[in-house]
Amino acid sequence: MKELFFELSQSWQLEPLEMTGAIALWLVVVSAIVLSFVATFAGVTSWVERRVAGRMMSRIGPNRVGPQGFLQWMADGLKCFLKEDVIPNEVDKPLFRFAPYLVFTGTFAAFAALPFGYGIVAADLNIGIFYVTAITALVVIGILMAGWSSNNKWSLLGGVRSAAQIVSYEIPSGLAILSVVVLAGTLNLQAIIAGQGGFPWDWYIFNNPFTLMAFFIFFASILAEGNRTPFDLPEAESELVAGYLTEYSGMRFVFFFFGEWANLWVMSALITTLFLGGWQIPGVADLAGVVAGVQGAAKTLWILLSVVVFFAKTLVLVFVVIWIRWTLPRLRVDQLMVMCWKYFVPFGFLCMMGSALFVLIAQSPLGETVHLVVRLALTGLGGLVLLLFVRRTILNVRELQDPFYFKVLE
Amino acid sequence: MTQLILEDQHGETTMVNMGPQHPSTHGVINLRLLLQGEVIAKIDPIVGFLHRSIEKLGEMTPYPGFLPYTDRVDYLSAMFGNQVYCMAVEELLGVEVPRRAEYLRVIACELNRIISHLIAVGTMAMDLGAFTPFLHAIRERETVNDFMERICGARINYSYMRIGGVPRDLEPGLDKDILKFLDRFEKFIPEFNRLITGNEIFVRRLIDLAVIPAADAISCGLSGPNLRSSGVDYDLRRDRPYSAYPEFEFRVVTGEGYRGQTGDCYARYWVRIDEMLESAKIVRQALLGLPEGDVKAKVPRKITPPKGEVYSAVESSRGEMGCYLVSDGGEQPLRVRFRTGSFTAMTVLPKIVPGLMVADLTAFFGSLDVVAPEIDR
Amino acid sequence: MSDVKRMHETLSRALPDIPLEVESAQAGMSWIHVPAEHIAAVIGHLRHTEGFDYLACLTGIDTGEELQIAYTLRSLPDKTECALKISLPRDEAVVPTISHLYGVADWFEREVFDLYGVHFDGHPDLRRIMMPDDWEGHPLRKDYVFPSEYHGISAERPDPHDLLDPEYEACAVDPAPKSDSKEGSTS
Repeated sequence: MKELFFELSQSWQLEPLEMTGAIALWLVVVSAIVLSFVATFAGVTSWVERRVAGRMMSRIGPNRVGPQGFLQWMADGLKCFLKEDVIPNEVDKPLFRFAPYLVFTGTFAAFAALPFGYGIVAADLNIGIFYVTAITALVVIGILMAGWSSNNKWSLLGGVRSAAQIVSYEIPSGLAILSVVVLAGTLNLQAIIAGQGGFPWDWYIFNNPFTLMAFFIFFASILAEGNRTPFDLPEAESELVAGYLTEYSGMRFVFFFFGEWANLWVMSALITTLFLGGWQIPGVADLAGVVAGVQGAAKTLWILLSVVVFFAKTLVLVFVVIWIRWTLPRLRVDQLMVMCWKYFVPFGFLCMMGSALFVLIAQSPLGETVHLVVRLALTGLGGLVLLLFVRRTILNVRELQDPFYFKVLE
Repeated sequence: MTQLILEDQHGETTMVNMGPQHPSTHGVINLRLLLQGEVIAKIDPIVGFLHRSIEKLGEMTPYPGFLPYTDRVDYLSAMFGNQVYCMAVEELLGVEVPRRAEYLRVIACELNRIISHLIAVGTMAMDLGAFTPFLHAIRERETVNDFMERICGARINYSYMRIGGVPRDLEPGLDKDILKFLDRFEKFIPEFNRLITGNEIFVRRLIDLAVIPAADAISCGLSGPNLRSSGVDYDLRRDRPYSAYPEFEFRVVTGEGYRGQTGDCYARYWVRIDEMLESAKIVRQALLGLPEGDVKAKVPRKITPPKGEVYSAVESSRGEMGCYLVSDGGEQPLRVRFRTGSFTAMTVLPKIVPGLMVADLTAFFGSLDVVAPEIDR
Repeated sequence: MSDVKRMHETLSRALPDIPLEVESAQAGMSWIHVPAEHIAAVIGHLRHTEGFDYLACLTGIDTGEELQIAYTLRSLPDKTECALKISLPRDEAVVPTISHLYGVADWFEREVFDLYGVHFDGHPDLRRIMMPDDWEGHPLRKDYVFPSEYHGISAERPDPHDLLDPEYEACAVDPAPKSDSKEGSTS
């Protein structure tokens, strides 16, 4: 993005003062693009989640507004805009008003550093992953603020639970990130992707047994940070009414959920970036070289292809997260903490040390061969698990009483 | 509804009203909690929000006219309310119910037990945050609701039974459809178990949680699945025989505690899952061995039982549902009292709950399968 | 019912000081009539010696002349039942509690207290259970007069014909004065 801007600004030959204005304008344009992407993504995901949940529960889900109910999210958004914004008398009004924006900002600001494809990133920070983990931690302040200012005991319980949960799970997720960073040797998200390859055995997830473990730790921790089931204790509707959301209504309520669905993208994109090879196209060893070698439409096409690959991986993960949400029950708060402190944190450390060890092994003589064997073996393992899963699914479908029909739309 | 304010002794506790409007109290109940952090120090269940004075209405209504009210005692298992009231009046009148009618009653009741337990296990999963199993259970329930509609014309509040029998016979072809459903249902339960019962998170949330010892269960008057899951082998259908139950083969399910202990929440859940299969077995036997004959005994149009009193009890899906009926020889009862499983199940709360967490309370409350209207009547 | 007769013989032998009688009506079951002041002793004996470990039902009855309380006890291992009954005067109805014998009796007695006004001596927590705390009267008594309003809410049902009358005023009781403060402010 930055390169594109400088190319354009050089071709326009701007004065220094005009340059400042142009930068400001450019920032506004970029943030508008990202914001509209986030808004659309959050909205569409809300519809997708409801339809997917509907299919899983053998019901239909929203299908009235627009084709297949696709415009449901717009109708809901509009409804919430027009709703009365109720603020109870007893709440701490400034904090109560401010909290939703903080939650939304925390999620939204993460998009600034997230890659979307080769070279497609709003701000290619050299400390990208560090920035993302730092800025998403802003959410916890917003949630705690919402819980406290609501002046409602259920909200407070939800807020405190959330604070405990997010702060705790920052540690294992950070350790899992570190075990990848050790391999990549950089904090830059684009560079982390560039360090991987197109095929699964080139991805960091199958790089060594420790990153495989780190992948699962990271996945679970980031689910917990995003308050998704099975870790959705702060808003557990059967225990805490609606947790910190209890007193909110209308647009402010939507802002929280906006943040939640946008966070779905953040977590999936991060996993894709760190573990699943990001925008690397299978079969293309050096995408940067390829893109540098071609011009015009071909260049655009290559970049577009990388975007498609990245989106495909991310959306599959988004689906998996939705799938988990509608399958699993919720943990209890003490079980959650036990899981974090007794299992994830020590194993996270193990992952980090193990990865570092593997870097050393790979550098030794014969290390190259050993590493290749390990990678292929782990990929084979992953393939086997996938195969078993598919086989199990086919068996289950065959056992069904009713004639099974794979009708996605209804 | 009470002046009692839980005292805050150390200034470290919070008083929280769980209910009357709360998603997991299964109706309008107020559980007043004293929390230390998230741990419950004291609980005071406050009921009465759904008191519809059914017992007073019973004293003002002629005997046959009271039947529809009995549906409303426990709206999830209305058939048992019908049955226990009809049995009480029949015993006072000395009416012999035809065998075919008894079989039809058993079929209707056991189908009712299946759908009531489906709701129970489904809502329990929902209380633990898993929403999907609930709707799968509801899907099966809808099928049975359709059968209920074909049996008696109503889907929830059946008013199916009459004093002296049932008003009409099964419609032709319905028995085959029910048998077909039972085949399907017996495969649905393993599917449901794969979805939620064996789920490790679900199991870990429930095992060893809120264990009710057998002595406490008996003293607190728990009944039905709640009593049996504590390891007490007692079932009114077998041990205080009524209707046509002595003619059927079925197993009385008790809490095995094969994961966790006998009497914990998982045992209560598991007993319900197993009981559904037993009910399916009973329905199958009843349908295959349905005797010929009338479905309603001759009873006078104006029902005036002789002076006397009677306590009839049936094994409802929430435990013992009893009807204490007192007649003074008039057209209306002198006293009609419903003893319900949910009411007695509530008395165990103050004994067991202190020391649990809020999240455990919802799981425990769900495992007791309490229905608020049945508490308050 | 032979259970009741047998129980009566056993009880008479064990507690000779307490006058016990088997009673029955034209239909239904028979029961042992116990003097009200001895009920806790009798039930305590049944609970501890005869193995009646389960209180199936406890109910009040208002016959018009007197109040009665019926206890239905059950022995789960022996699968036998025993019905007991006591009579009480309508005014100043006081009974010893049995809530120390059965946990469930706590709530059963609260219900009888609430709906019949029977006072249970020694009950740890005798509060109303079904009705609000400030409710007047005990609704299941035969001489209970239905209140016409509760906290300004009319309990009278209008005659459906009156509703067609355009002059008809919907609320017989004056509605509660509107409070000045708004429940929630908007922004």
